[in-house]
Amino acid sequence: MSIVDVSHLKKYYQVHKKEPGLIGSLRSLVKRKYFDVKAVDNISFQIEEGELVGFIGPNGAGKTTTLKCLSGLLYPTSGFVSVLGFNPWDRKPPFLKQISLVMGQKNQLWWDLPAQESFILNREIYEIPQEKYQKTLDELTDLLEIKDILKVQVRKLSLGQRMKCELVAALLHSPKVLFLDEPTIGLDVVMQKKMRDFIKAYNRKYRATILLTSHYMGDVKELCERVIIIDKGKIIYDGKLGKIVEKYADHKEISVLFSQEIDPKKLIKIGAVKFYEFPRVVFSVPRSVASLAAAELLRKFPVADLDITEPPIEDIIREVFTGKDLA
Amino acid sequence: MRKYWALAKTSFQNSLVYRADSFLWGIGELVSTLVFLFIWIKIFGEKQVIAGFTLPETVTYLIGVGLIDNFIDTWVSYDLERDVQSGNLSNIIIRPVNYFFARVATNISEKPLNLIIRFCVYFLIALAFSSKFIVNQSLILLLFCGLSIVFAAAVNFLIHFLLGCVAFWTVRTRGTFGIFRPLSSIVAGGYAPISFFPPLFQKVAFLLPFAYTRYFPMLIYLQKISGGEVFKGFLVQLFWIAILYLMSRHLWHRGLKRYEGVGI
Repeated sequence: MSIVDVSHLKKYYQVHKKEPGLIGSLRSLVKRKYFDVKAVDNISFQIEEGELVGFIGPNGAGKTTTLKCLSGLLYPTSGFVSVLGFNPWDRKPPFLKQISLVMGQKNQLWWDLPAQESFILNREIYEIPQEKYQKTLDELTDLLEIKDILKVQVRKLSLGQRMKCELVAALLHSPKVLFLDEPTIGLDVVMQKKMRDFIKAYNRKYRATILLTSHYMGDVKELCERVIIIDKGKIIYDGKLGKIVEKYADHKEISVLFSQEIDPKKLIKIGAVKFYEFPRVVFSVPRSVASLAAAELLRKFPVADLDITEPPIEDIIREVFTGKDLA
Repeated sequence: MRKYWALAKTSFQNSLVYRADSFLWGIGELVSTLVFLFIWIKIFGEKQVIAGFTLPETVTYLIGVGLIDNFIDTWVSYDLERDVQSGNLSNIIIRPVNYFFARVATNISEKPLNLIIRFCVYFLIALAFSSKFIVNQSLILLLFCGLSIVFAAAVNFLIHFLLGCVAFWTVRTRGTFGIFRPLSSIVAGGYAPISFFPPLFQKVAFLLPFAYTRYFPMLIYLQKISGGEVFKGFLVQLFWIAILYLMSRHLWHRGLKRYEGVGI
């Protein structure tokens, strides 16, 4: 049985539109027009134990809403959701004890007390045996290098330190399923890397199933073998990250370094020029003729170096988001 | 059970961080009690009894109600409003914790500090008016009074929890809360014994749970009601606790379905 099983999940919000201005405000006091926002519109997928899956999509795509439905925070409009065999919305204690949700900027630690106090409270709430608690705490604080700040008021910690403490607090009960919403948002590049390394290590060591949402391609590239692309509440793609390139990139890039001056006008015969600053030129050519184009270049031009690459994933995803023709 | 005790302990530690703030709040409450005391003493003038209350009984009543207020007061409606609007509610319901009892734990734990401060202050006032303050010597009555106060605290907590649930439906609750406190206080006999008000008012007041939060305990203390009436009063309190609890659960579940976790 899959750890996560979602079938035809829908979450619609009711929102009312207000006309601008004072008259609009008065009118909306009396009569309101409601309409549905289809945050999640009939999505289905399964996730197996130990997978690390990334949900990506433009803002407002429905990623966070999906995560909230999976963790039991939101009441679905319709559909079937099963996580670890439970219906998340029932929020049964055995279910809650095995999951954890970490939202980028949301604090669960008590602001005016040292992180240590929040950890102890969590130990009680999740009913973790003292020995196991101590062991897990030691492992986590070692991995994240925060042993020396546990007694400092959370208020006084830097953002990076706070996020590390938040992570520890979220993992003390060794959840089997971890939901991460924008885990590296607002962090500097060094912290981002540390965070990613930690998530990867955690996934490997504890075989925890991890679902994360992120805007940063860096997160996705580093962590996720499998990605689910959501846009406007629907799943556009569900599969290996590497395959997105094959499926959606209909072209390849040829990067050339010329050893001598060449006539720019002749370049157009090879293919679309994406970048031109002598001696370097980058072409974008249809996939099927990439090798032919490369051969042409080598034959007709003074080439010092030639490289055929896939277009960057960021570009492809951007094209997918902006609804470019994906035939 | 342990988890709610741990929650109470943590919350208590948290409240200690803001000692000065609690203290100042207490002083403010104290002033209004003093004002009322002076007003009523003046109103009594040479009269012996007003609406069944002698002057000493009235003085004792006002001081007593001030103390009871401390004990039964709750901020859970504000807690709920804040949790819903900030999205902090998500942090709580994602954990294996019952929100209602978690709030009971945090509300109770925030009281000891306030109680100690305010008790001292009211003790001083009682001393200042000692010629008019009635001290009840009967242990049994004091026990009953104490019990009624505990029930009163439960009733008050439930009322405010229900009020807080409004936050699931409206974004701004300032107006609702703003009217509620003073109104409910009057009807509870917070500013003057209920018997001081017109008969119709009294009839309505006793239909509502509020009268049993402040007026009833004081009636026990001042020995103004018979044993049978005390017993009946307890039954009414328990009745309200049951009804309000059921209403709270229902409203809570319905409200949660509407919760969108915004603010995150």
